[in-house]
Amino acid sequence: MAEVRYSTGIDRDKQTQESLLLEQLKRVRHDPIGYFAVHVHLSKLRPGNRQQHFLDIASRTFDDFIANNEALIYSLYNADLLLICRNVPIDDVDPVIEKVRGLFPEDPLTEAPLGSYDDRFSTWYDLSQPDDLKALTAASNDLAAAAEVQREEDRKAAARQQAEADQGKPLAPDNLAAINQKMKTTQIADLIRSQAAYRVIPGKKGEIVFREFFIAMAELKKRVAPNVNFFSSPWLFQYLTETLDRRMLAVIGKRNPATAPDAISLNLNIGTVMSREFQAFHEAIEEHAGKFIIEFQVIDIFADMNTYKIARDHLRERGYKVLVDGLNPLAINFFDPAHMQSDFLKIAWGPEFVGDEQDEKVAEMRQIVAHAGKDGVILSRVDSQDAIRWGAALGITRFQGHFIDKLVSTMKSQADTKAGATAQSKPAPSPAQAPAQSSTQAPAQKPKPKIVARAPAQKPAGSA
Amino acid sequence: MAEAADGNRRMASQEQLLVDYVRRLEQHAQGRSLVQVHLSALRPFNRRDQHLRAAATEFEPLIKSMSGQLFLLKTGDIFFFFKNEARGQTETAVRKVKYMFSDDPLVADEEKTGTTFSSWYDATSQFPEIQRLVKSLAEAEAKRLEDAKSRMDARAALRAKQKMGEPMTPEILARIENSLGNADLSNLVRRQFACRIDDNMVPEQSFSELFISIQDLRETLMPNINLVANRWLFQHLTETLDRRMLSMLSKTDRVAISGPISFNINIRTLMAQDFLMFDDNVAASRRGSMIIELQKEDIFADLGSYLFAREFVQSKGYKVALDGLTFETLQVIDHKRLGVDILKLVWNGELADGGENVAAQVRQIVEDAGEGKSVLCRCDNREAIEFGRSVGIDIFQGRYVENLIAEDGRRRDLLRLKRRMERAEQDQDEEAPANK
Repeated sequence: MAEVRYSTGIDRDKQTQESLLLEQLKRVRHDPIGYFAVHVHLSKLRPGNRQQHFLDIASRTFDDFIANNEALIYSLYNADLLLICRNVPIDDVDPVIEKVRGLFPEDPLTEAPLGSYDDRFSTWYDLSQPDDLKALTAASNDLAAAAEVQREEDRKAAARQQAEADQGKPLAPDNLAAINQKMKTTQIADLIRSQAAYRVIPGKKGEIVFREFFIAMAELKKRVAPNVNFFSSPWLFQYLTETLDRRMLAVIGKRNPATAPDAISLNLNIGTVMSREFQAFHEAIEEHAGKFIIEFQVIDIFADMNTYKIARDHLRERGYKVLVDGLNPLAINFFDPAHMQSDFLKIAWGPEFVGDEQDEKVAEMRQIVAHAGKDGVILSRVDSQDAIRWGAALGITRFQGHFIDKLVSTMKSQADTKAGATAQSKPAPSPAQAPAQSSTQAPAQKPKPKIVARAPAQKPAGSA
Repeated sequence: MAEAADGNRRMASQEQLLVDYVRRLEQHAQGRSLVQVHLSALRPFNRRDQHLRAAATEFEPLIKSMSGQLFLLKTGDIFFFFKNEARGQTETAVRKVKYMFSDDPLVADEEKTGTTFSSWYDATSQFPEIQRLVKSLAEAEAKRLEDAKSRMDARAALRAKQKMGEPMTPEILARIENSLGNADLSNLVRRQFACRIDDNMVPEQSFSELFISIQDLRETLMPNINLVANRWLFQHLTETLDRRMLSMLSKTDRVAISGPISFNINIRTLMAQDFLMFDDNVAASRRGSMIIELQKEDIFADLGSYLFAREFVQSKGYKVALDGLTFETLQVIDHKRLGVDILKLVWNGELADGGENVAAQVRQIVEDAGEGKSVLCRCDNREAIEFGRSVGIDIFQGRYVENLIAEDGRRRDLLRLKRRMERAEQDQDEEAPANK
């Protein structure tokens, strides 16, 4: 609503795009001949595609078009774009809309072709038609009102985040050494958490496949560098995980694996497996090597496939099992994980994959899962019934995540194992912070929904 | 436990047993043959342990009746030595195994791609060939073990340190990045040409890759430091180098860039302000002759960003290359779906050692990618060019190609000199009578 005045934040002196749009529509009303509008519904993209820098680039795509035609573009607060043109041939508008559509080739929103009945990507309005003009004005009013509410919410959320001092200074080469040094000496044994992966058999209670041990990152951060944002550089964070690997091995190597009720999985850098520290760990647990599963990140594997193969064979010859982590439903469409020849594959689920259930795609994914050996596939980050349904449709029967933890604990009449109970008693992270904590690769403080390697080598407490 | 470890070390691998067997075979070769069943070339989902075991089972009756000896290698290949009387039964067993995998491209596309499912050797007449084959297998296995060992060996680490310098640390990275901020790097920019190479080994330039020489950077800034010792720190450094490169490319007076060029960049840089600024400064007509090279690990670190960035730069007219591919990654990655314009395969002697089945798979991928879309890079010998040409690659890059360019330059110079001399002679001849 154009008349709303803004009292807070950066918008104080600036008119919003929504109010500018409404003013423009008012002007159009006087002489609507030749005007038309295109509403590009970028807000309906999957969350992963709705990142700010994507949207900036999408709106830049219109630059030349705006410069060369009588046209205006509004970048709305909900990410939608609204283009208003006067006397521009439709054939000149189509290409630029198509260009924007082309930026999101894998998104379900862009599936139906331009102008088709199912096209949800854009809506066209002929503003010389009173009905259309009215409809767009009403829609714009709604958008403005929604934007106002959203802006206020975002402002509060930002303030909250600020208060939590979650961002801090970015991780950079000049503070990295000190943090690394601290990580080498800080006590970490009490920060080690675990989460089980379950095999779900319909009608029966879940059966533990293994229990993954990881370092509660958020708590560690508090201990070593409360004011530094660990995720500002994926590479520098990865560097720190090399140190954490060694700490983790030292702690786990001292525990007696014979007393552990379940198989144990650890997320390590490939380089760590080839290190002297791992050798020492192996000597400590040697006869129980068969109880251990070593998880590698797919990004680490792709960086040097040869070393991965050597490490994998090296581990398997000694009795360990190997798991490839950091996959997601999108990634497995682009490479065949069966090639990794690992014992397990972990696919991280995300709500953005709901609705990705066209028969054809499901059949294709089923095939990929079957090829990879479906008994070795684990769907992780399972936080809802949707995730389980999605996995089951693909033939997956092994799951890891909050939701499955809850499900299993209600199904189990007896008390949980001690480790499980500790994990359960942790307060569940709010959905907003969960991805931020767990994305090692995600640099932005606003968690960029990472597509592949978002599972960290060491996960924060209770992250699913 | 010491015993177990010892036992483990002494437990002979199938590769070792095979070497021993072949050594002894020399005396008993008469009346025997070998079939190598190339299960290593099966697609990985067909190459699981249970599949290989099932395949080996087909030979069980022959082994029981003492007519043959089987070795199942780590690669998945089966080596089966048999008495010639049992040839018929062996052929049946191989046929059965083949039938088990009839859906696999190795079998299904056999005629189209020229792959081989099994190779047959006569132990007497072809003994040297068998020896060679087994020796190369044993060497590959030994090298693999050596590789694994040397990575954990403190001595090897020490040697690397002496040769390459002290490993990079965060402190050094910080210092380097500070000094990079204001250093003029244009004298560190190197240019390497990628060329088409004809039958006579004459190169013709296709495009040139611009890069900042890490070697020279090291010499200039930190002579005793091994910049690549830690992958993650190095990766961070490349983001800084990306920005410097982009700003240099924007100022064309700094680096003379003519003809089509390529440069390596991180996807994160591609999505940042630096690239947008660079893009603003590039003439639209120039974009079509610029190739943006991306690393596979970078792509898979954030596939969503990649898909977006690729679409963005391609729609602007740039071309996108997928760099750093090896035979393994080439097989794993669905490059078609990734939608890149150019594939850059890194040359490695193992490509040629892989035999016809490897060549057939590479050829298939090169063909799928389309003509002129594949580049073989880091070619350091003639073998690389020969292999590339044999699988349909016609663009090459690397030290050897640089040599060919230099050689071609010399040849042209010589030719020019020769022409000049001939002309001079001619002139003399023409003048001579007059002089007389």
